Amino acid sequence: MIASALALPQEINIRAVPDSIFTSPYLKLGLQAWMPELYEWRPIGRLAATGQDGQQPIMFEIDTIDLPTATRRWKLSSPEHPELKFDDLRAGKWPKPTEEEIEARSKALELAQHVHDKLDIRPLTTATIVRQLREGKEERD
Amino acid sequence: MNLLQVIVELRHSTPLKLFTPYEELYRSLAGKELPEKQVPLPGFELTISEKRMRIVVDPRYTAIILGDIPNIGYCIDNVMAVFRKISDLVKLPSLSRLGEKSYWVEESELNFDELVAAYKRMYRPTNIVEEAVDVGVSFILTSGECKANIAFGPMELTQLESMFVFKPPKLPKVANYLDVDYYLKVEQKDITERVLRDFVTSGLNYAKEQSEKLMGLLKEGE
Repeated sequence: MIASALALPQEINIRAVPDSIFTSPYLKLGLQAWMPELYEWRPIGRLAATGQDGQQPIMFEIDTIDLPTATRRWKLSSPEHPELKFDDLRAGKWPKPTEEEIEARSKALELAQHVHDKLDIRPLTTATIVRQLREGKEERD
Repeated sequence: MNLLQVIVELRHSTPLKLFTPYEELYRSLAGKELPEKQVPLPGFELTISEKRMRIVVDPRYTAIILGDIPNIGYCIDNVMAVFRKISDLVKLPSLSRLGEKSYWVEESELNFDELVAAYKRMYRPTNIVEEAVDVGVSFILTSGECKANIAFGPMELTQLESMFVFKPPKLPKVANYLDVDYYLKVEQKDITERVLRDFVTSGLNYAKEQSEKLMGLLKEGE
C-alpha cells in the first residue's frame, strides 16, 4: 500500500469502490485542496518536532505509571475464582466453571425438567380450546 | 481486524497556559497582554515502556498513544485516566479539533501480489489499475458531526513495522491494513470528561465497524 496523498485525479470520474458499503460521498478534491487536509491529518502521528518554532519536545521515559483507571477503582471478589481480575472480565475472559458449579448447574437443570413434567407445561392452542369447549371439559389432555 | 494502535489528540485553540508562563505572569500582574508574543516552551513527551504508552503534552495539542490494546474498554479507560491527570494539573483550553486515529491489521493468507490483485478487483479495470503493482485508498467519510479519514490497502511486514510507534510483538508478513482518523473540527469546544469519553467510544466503535466492512468487502470480491 502506498501510504501517501492518495488523491485520484479529478478528471477520472469513477466510483472507486463500485456497489460497496462505503456509501459516503467521495470528496473529489484537487491536490491543492488535499494538502491542508492532509497536513492537518498527519501531525497526529508525527510527534518528533514541535512545529513552527522548531523546538523539540523534552522527552522522558519511565517503566510504568499509576493511573486512576477502572482496574484500580473496581475490586472483584469471587471466592470460587480468586485468580479472576477486572481486566479478564473486560476482555471477555470468563473463568471455567468448577466441578461444583457444573454439578450444581446439572442439578438445577434436572429440577427444572422435573417441574416442567409435573406441571405438564404445554402451549394452549386455539384448536385445544375449541375442542375443550365442544367436549365440555376444561382440563388438559 | 485487530486493533494495534490508537492515538487520541486534543488540538488546542490557544496554547496551553503551562507553556506560556511569562505571558500569564505579565497578564496577571500588568493586567494587559504582553506586547510581543513569546515562543511557547517546548512540549513534553513521556514514554511508559511497560504499558507501551506515550503521553505528549505540547503547547498546541495533547495526545496519548497506546500501543497495547487488549480491548476497547482498556483503551477508553486509559485515555480518560491520562486526561484526568493532566486536567488536575492544568485547565485544558477549548479545542479546535478532537481526533482519534486507530490502526487495524488483519493477517492475509495470500502473498502480497495476490492481495494487491484482490484489492484491484474493487476497481473498474483501467490502464492505471491494470499496471498498478501496489494500491492504497483514502476516503473522507462523514458520521454525524464527525468526519473520518480512512486509508486502507495491502501491506508487507517492512512497511507495516514503520506504522507503529511501539512495534507490536507479532506482525504478519502480509496484511490488510486500515487506519481510521476519526475527527471533529470545531470553532471552539470546551472539553469535558463526558465529551471526551463519548468521542473516544464512538470513534473506536466507528472504526471497528469500518474494519468489519472492509473485510466483508474483500471477502465478497474473492
